[in-house]
Amino acid sequence: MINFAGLEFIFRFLPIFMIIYWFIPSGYRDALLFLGSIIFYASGAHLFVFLLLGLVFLNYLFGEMVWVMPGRRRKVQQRQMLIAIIAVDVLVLVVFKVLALKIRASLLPLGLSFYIFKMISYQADLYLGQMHKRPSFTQAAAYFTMFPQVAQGPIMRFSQGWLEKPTNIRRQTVYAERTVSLQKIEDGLTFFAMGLGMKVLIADRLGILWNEIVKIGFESISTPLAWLGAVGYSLELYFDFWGYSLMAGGIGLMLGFRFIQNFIHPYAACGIADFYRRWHATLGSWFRDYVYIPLGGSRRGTAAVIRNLMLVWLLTGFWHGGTLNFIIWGVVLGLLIVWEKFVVRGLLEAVPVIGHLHVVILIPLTWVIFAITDLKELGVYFSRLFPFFGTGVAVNPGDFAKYMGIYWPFLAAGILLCVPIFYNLLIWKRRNPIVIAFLLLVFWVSVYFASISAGNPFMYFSF
Amino acid sequence: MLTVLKRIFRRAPLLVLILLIWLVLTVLALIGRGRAYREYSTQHGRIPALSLVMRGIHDHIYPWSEAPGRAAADADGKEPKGAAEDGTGTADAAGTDKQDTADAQKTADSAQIQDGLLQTPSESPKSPAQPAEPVSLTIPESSCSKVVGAKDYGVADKSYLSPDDTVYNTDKEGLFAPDGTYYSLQEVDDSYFADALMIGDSRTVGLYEYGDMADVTSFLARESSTIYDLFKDDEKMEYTPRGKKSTERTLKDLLKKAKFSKIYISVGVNELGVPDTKDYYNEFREVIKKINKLQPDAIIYIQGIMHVSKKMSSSDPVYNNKAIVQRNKAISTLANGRSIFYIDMNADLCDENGDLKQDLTGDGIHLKASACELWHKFLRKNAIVIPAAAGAEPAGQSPAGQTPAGQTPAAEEPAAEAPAGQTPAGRQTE
Repeated sequence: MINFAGLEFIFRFLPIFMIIYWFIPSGYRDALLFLGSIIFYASGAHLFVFLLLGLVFLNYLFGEMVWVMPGRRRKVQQRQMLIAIIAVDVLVLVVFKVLALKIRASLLPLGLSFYIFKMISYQADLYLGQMHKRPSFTQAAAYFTMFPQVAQGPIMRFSQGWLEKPTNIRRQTVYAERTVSLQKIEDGLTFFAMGLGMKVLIADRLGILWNEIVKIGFESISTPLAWLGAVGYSLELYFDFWGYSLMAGGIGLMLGFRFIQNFIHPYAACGIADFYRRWHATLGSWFRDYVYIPLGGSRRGTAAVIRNLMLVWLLTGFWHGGTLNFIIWGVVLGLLIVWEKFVVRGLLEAVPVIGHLHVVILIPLTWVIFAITDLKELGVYFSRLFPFFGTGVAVNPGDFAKYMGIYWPFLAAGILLCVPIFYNLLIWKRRNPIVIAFLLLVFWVSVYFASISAGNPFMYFSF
Repeated sequence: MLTVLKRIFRRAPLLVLILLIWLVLTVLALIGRGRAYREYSTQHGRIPALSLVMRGIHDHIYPWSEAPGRAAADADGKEPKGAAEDGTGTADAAGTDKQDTADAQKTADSAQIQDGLLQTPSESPKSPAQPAEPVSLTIPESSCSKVVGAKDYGVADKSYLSPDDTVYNTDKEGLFAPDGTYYSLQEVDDSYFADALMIGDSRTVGLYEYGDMADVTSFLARESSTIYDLFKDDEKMEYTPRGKKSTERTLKDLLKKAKFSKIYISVGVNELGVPDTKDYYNEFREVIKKINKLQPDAIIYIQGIMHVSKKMSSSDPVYNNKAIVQRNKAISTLANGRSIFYIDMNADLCDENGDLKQDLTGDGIHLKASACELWHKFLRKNAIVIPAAAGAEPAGQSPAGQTPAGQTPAAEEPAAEAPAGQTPAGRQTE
């Protein structure tokens, strides 16, 4: 049920929830969202639901105390409260990350970092006075736990869901209330069907290609297949995560929230830094607002900027996994961004195509580092990508043709969707009967594949 | 009412169409539930009904299909299954000896399992009424490989396993034993495989692609094929005759048209998700019977299921070595040391805990390309050579004391005729 592409979610949880949500008076919707999300989370994370509940209460309590803090030394005490609760949240995250790494991967609660990040952002926004109104318990609880986001993001801000900037009508402050409508459900379903198709019809199919390469063993793949694998894995990761984010955004839309955009055509970016403004954008902006800028951002001279960038990317690496390859991945990206920002900036501005080449060539290589946790194996894969350092063992020179013959439709569809115009056209023309028929087909073919395969949960779940 | 629906449709066409199709599929699923989809009955209630229709489309079964192809295929196998379970059929032939066999198997551990007691072929069918001295024979050590045990990490899902004291009745003597001679596994060169056929799943596909055997022998393999699929009429597999281009063939069709002297079967990992071992064993026995019928002179090699890596085995409730060892123990009892042999390469590929060595596998289930040569080597080292001419020195003999004393291979010649008389008796179970 925890998997958006699973039949139980699509045909049981979601419709039942939506029907109740539709008919319940709007004042109870936050409470219902909280309750439904707890059931949703418990179905996938079992006992960890108590951890989530504990963190919800604790964070709400601290938020309340910060809000109502009386007295002269208000600012100082608020600051202490903020530091205390963030320390608790970070500690929980670190402890479970370490437990998962040292003992067993299953000790990492589902979606832990996503809801912890939301809690930190909640506390920081509250402290910085960015909330226009005191959040109620059900609002805060629904925000922390809401099922479209609890397992895998996107990391929405509290103000995006509640307390959007108020409008003044006749000197009275009016907050836009969240409403549901057929229109929103239809739009949400459009995004959901698109995301489902990306996940099931592209990412899961390409996932098999990567499994094949792992099965063969990296030392025995031909160089063309190594590159095909790098591209295939990059596309798999992209459509797995983008598809998930579209489904999450679509469900949010059905519930009356605004659409949270998490991927903004990253492969059309004009450089690595730009890529990461567009890839998992809510995580990038979270790091920017709550780590990079508090550290001083880019205001304190070149050395500080480089230090801050490297720190953010080191943290990003750690966040994705504790093994060395993720640290290398983060550091390499940090270095590439520093390189772009300080060394070749002029060149990139003069010849933008170089930036695009950076994205389409270097990014897949960084995903290879991301994919292979064993450093020795990683070295072997790179020696196959760049075969100047050694030859393979038992290489079948026909392997590229074989796998290209099987996977070209999925690769082609993936590459096509990397070009913004195709996706934008679908969204723009979503009321066109041809597009509706296409999405209907995508939806049901995806359900067909989900029915016959055991179901392959999202790759990002344990992060 | 209609105008309301029209308005809804105009505002949310995708939603309406999805709901409509959902409704239709659910109705179809409910119609077909009792009949066409009864095969999928274990899933009722756990997943939405419409997935029955989807799975049906995949298996070419539709709600209006009266007798689904799969159920029909299964019906073939059901009778003997039932016969085996209630102890009639071949068990009669075994007489009192059957009890011994059962007892022996109950106490047998992984190392001894294929040493299960075996009755001489000439015994009961000739004189069913006469409770003659049951002669127990043990297949000599070197005839079949031993089942390689493995560490139990305690993750196995019990519903896929048979209870520990399950007895796999050894009806092989009535079916397959051509003579009283046992043969030993010995080393051969690649020319041995020229008239062999390798049947298998994705692992065998790997052997074909990376085991340096494509020019040496013939393959009939397909990814994710199972013992249940092998004789299905619509299960076409990739047939690659030695060094030639591949075509799509079914096993039945191929065995009818081409002759092979050695047939290797390597399946089993995909079936781990199908309960349970007893069922797997029964199906395997049926497959061997059918192969034996089509190619009576071929040596049949049952290849033990290769173990998985520790990482996989210690975490996966289905794909783990406990389940694999249980299945290997079961199918190893189908060997008779005369024309059907059990060979198990796990000893060459696994560590001391019986886990597939990590450096030999990428995904924990398949041999890496660079390790497929080890499988090829294993096959070369563990072959059976049956002398062509009658009376020629067999490669190995039954140890003295286990066959009536003083018998030479030549003296056993008449005994070789006994199974001919016995085979029909054995087949009565079908």
